[in-house]
Amino acid sequence: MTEIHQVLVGAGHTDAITNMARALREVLRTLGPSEIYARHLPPEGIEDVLPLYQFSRNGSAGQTIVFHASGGDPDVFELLDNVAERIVLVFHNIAPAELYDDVDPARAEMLRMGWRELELLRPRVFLAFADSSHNAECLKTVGYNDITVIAAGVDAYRLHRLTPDPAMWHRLGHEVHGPLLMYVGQGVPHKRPEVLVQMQYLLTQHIGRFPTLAIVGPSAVLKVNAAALEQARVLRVPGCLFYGQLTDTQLAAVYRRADLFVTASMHEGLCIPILEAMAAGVPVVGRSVGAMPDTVGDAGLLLPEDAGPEMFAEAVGELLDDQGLRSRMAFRGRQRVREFDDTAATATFLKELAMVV
Amino acid sequence: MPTDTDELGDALERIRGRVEERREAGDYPPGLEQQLDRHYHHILKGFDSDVEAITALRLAVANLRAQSEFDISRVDTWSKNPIKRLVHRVIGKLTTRQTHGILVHLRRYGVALDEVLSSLLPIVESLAGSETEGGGGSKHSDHDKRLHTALDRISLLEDRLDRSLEASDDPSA
Repeated sequence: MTEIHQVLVGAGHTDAITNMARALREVLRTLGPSEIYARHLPPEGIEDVLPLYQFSRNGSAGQTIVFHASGGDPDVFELLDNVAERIVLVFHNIAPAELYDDVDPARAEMLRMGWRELELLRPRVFLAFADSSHNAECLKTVGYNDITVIAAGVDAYRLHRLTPDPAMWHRLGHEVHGPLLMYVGQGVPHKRPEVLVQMQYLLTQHIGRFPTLAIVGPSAVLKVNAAALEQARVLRVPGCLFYGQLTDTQLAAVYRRADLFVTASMHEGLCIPILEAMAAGVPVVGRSVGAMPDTVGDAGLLLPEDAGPEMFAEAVGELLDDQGLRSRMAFRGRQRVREFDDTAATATFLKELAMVV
Repeated sequence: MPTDTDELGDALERIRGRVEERREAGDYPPGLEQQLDRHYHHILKGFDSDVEAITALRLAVANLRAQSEFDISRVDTWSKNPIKRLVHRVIGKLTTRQTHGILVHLRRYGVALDEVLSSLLPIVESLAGSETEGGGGSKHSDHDKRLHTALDRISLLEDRLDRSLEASDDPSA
């Protein structure tokens, strides 16, 4: 019996990293006891994730902890730096702190601290994974070498298998007029939801097109989505829907109804919503930043890094006018997402782990 | 036949060309993107705790409304195990009447709650608006009057909610 637990900085009910940890827990439990611990949990808690303070510090040097790194936290660092267990790092990248400086300075500091903590933990990490080539390159900048690139625990078809929530489907029928542009992601500064609102403003008030824009995801930094919503209100932008956090079946309904997935994010380590969009046959428009080119390949339309709302609006117009191109992109997306084979990735993860455990 | 990359590259060129055309035609006035960005950051910086709290409240109310469509079809009977799946479906069929009854109660409660929140939201907004617009010389007596009005309305709405719940508990209703 090999006891391997996972440690996360933060967990959410439908958070992508939490879902990856859940998938890994399933396979780790074939080896022995395995739990997920997180420092930050929603106030109501999460049924299958334990708070970090419950982590037993009586482990031995023969045991292993899988640490999912996505940000800094002094409590997580203190634990990892002091336990006897060996550490396996799974790196999901850390958002660029400079985009948070004006909006949430405390969080910006935690992000900077995340990189410093990774550097300090390096001697204790005996195996490092990154979930994209881009993330591996970033990890090398803090001194890690020998990194295995593998997106273990990513199940892009998770939502595709669900029956869409009928009430959400019904709601979309009422609220969506014309084509549906969707975006899924946390409301944080580097995701730039305001660019999507400004794009919708240009589409509806400068170009004379009237799609509906659905912005889905929790407001991790409340001001960000709130200010975007306020801008939509002040500019009287029609068809802007802020759905907040949805359940998986509700989200499945949005993917099913969507015509395009649009993201203006300035930084992506992997971007699981894009994989989910491709699995659902929804063409993707985004910026050529971070891991986006690796994730999307030729299945999505990637705009330059500095693309603004004007270019996004024209890209949406181009794709809405060209049903053939949209269909071909959807087809290529479905092919592309098959390359993220969860079973094979998880098997490789276990194989690598078995060599050292 | 164009390759996939050519096709997307061509689309990107057309998009670039169209942006230029619209800029030349004046559909996109000079500095429009910068103006929109400045506007957003102006809103972002201007967010004090009151406005932020109200926006959070507005988002929460919208989210509550999204969750309040109680429907029997939302009760999941799926299970990985086909036998359990069958059992869940059979139990679901056998208890349809009871489930439906509970959902009717919940729907009534949801409507009443929505009414309360819809009435409260503009009051809270107007109270916060008067505070933020009033600046340093805020008029306490004016605020007191508004607060009393709000409290009166809350009492009325609570009464109405109680009556509505009583009515929904009444089997003869």
